[in-house]
Amino acid sequence: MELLDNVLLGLETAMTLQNLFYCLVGCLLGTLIGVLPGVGPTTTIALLLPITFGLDPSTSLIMLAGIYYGAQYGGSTTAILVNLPGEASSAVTAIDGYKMAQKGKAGSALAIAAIGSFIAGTIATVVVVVFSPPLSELALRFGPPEYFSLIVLGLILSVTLANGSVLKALAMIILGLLFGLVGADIYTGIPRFTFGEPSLMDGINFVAFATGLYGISEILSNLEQDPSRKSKVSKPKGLLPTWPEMKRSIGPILRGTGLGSVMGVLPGGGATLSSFAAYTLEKKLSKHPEEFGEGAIEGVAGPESANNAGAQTSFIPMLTLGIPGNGVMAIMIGALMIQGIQPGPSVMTTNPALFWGLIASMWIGNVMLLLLNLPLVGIWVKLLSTPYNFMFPAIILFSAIGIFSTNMNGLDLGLVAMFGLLGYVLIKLDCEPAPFLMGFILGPLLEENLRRAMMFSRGNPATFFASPLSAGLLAVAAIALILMILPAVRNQRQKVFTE
Amino acid sequence: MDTQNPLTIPVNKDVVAGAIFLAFAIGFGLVSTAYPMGSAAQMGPGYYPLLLSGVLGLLGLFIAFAGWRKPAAQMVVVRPVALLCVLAAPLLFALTLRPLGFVAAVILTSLLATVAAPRMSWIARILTALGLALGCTAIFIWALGIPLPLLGSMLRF
Repeated sequence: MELLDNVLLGLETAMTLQNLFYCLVGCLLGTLIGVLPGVGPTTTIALLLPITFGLDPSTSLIMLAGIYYGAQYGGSTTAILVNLPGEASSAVTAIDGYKMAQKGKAGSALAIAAIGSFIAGTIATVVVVVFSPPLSELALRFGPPEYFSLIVLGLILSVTLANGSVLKALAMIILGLLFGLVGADIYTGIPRFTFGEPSLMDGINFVAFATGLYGISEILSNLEQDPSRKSKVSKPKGLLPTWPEMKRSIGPILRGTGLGSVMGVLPGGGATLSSFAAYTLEKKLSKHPEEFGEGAIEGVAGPESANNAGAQTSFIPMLTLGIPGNGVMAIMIGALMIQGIQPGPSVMTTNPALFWGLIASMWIGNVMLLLLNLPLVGIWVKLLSTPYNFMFPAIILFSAIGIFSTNMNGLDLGLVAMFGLLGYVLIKLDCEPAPFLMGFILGPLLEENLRRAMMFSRGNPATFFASPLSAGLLAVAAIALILMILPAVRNQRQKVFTE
Repeated sequence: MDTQNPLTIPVNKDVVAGAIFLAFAIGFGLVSTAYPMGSAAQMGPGYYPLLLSGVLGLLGLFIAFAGWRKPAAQMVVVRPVALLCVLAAPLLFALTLRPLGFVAAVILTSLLATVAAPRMSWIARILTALGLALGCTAIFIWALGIPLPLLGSMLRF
C-alpha cells in the first residue's frame, strides 16, 4: 500500500529527535507571539521566519507549521480571554468564547477549542494525505498555459479574502505582482526596478516585505490609541469541560471539520471563511439559537474546529500546485524558495521526505498543542496582561535583528520601514494586505508562464483557451469575478464580514 | 499636545487609494519603458511590467473616480511622532550596528521606539531598553550564535 508507505516515511522524518524538538519549539514560540493581542498568525509567521533559515528545509518547514498551529491557537486564546482576536479567523471565536469567559467558563472554552482543533486537525491530515498525490499528478501534466490560468484563478479567488472593494483588492494584487518583479529578468538577466542596488538583483527580501506589511503596520495601527491601557483578562478556573459540554460540542466539532476541510482547499478560503461558515451553520442547526452570542459552547467548538481543519487543508494547493490559498501559505512558499526548493507538483517526487514529513508533523503539532498549550494556559494569561508599551519595542527589535542577520544587509531594514508605511497607509484606506502578498509571491511565476506560453504559441493569446483545462480555469476565474462584482453577492459578502 | 484622544483626519479613502495606485502605475510604467519591449511572441523584460502598470493605472483611475462624490470620512490615524519613531527604529538599528555594536544599537533602537508610546515615563523607557539589550543578547548572540559584534568599531580601543 503506497499510501501507508508514504505515511510511514512521513512519520520517520517527523519523529527524529531534531524535528520533534523544532516542532515543539515552533508550537511554543507560535503560541507565545500569537497570544499577544492584535498579532495574528500571518504576522507571527512573518516575524518568526528568520529563525528557521539556519535549519535544513524539512526541519524549517516543520517548525514553521508548528509556529502556524501555535499562532492559531494563541489567537483563539486571546480571542476567548480578552476579546481581542488577532486575525479574522478567530474573530468568530471571540463572540461566544469571550462571553463564556465572562461567565467564568474560560477553561471550558479553551479546552473545547483545543480538543476541537485536535480532532479537526487529525481528520484534516488524513484528507491531505489522501488528496495530495492525485492532485499533484494532475498538476504535473500542466503546461505553461494551464499554469498561467491556474495562477490567475488563484489570484482572483484571493480577492474573496479581502473585506471590502473588489477593485481595490484587484489593484492590490497587481501592485504585488509589480513589486514581485524587482530583480533580474529570468530570460535576459537585465536588472529591473533595482535602481542599481546589487542586493535587489534577487528580488525584494521576502521577510522584509512580509514583516513590514504585517508586523510594522500592525504596530502602527495599535499605536493609534494610547497603548498604556491594560486589557482585562479573565482568569480561567478549571480546565476540563464538563460531560454535558462535551456532548454538546461533538456535533459542531465534526461538522466544523467537514466544512473547514472543504473550504480550506479552495484558494482564498482557508481558515477565515470556514470559521464564519461554521458559526452560521451551528446557529442555524441549534435548538437554542438565542444562546449564540451569549456564550454558547457550540459557537466556540464549530468555528475553532473549522478554522483548524481549513488551516490544515489549505496546505493541499500550496504543496501540490505551488499556489498559496492565503497569506500564511504565501509565506510558506516564500520560505520554501529561500531554502532553494521550487514549490510545485514536483516537490512530492523530488523531496518525498520533506513532503510527507511536513504532513506527519501537522498531526504531531496538533498533539503537542493539546498536551502542552492547555496546561501552559496560566503562562499565556500572564503574557496577555503585559502592557503593549513593553511589547512593541521588543517586536520591532526581534524582527530587525532577525532580518538583518539573514543577509547582513542594512538595506533590508529600510525595506521593512518602507513596506511598513505602505502597508499601514493602504490598510487605512481599506486595501487589505493579503492580495498584495499573494501577488508579490506569484508575480514571477505568472510572468514566467505567460512568457513561455506566448513563446510556444508564437504570440497568439488564444493558447490560453486552446486546452479545455486552461479555458475551464479561466472561465471559473471570470465567473468568480463577475459574481463578486454583482451587487447581490457583494451585499452577502459584506454581511459575512461584519457579522 | 493632547495625547489622550486619538488623532483623526478627514480622508476620502477611495480617492487617495486610487491616487496611490495611479502613482505606482506611472512609476513602474515609466521605468519599464527603459527596458527592451520585445513582441508578444518574444516578450522582453519591459513588456509584462508595462502591461501590469497599464492595468493598475486604469484600476486606480476608476477607484478614484468612483469615490469622487463620496463624502470624506473621519479616519483615526497614528500620531506623526509615533509613526516616525516606529519607522525610524529599524533604520537606526541598521545604521548603529556596525559603528556602535549590538548592545548599543539595541538600547538606542528601543529608546527611539518607546518614544512612540506617549505616556511612558523615561525610567520605564530606559528599563525597557536595558531589559531588551540583555534579552536580545542572550537570545540572538549567546543562544543562536549570530555573528554580530557586541561592541562596535567605534567603541573598541
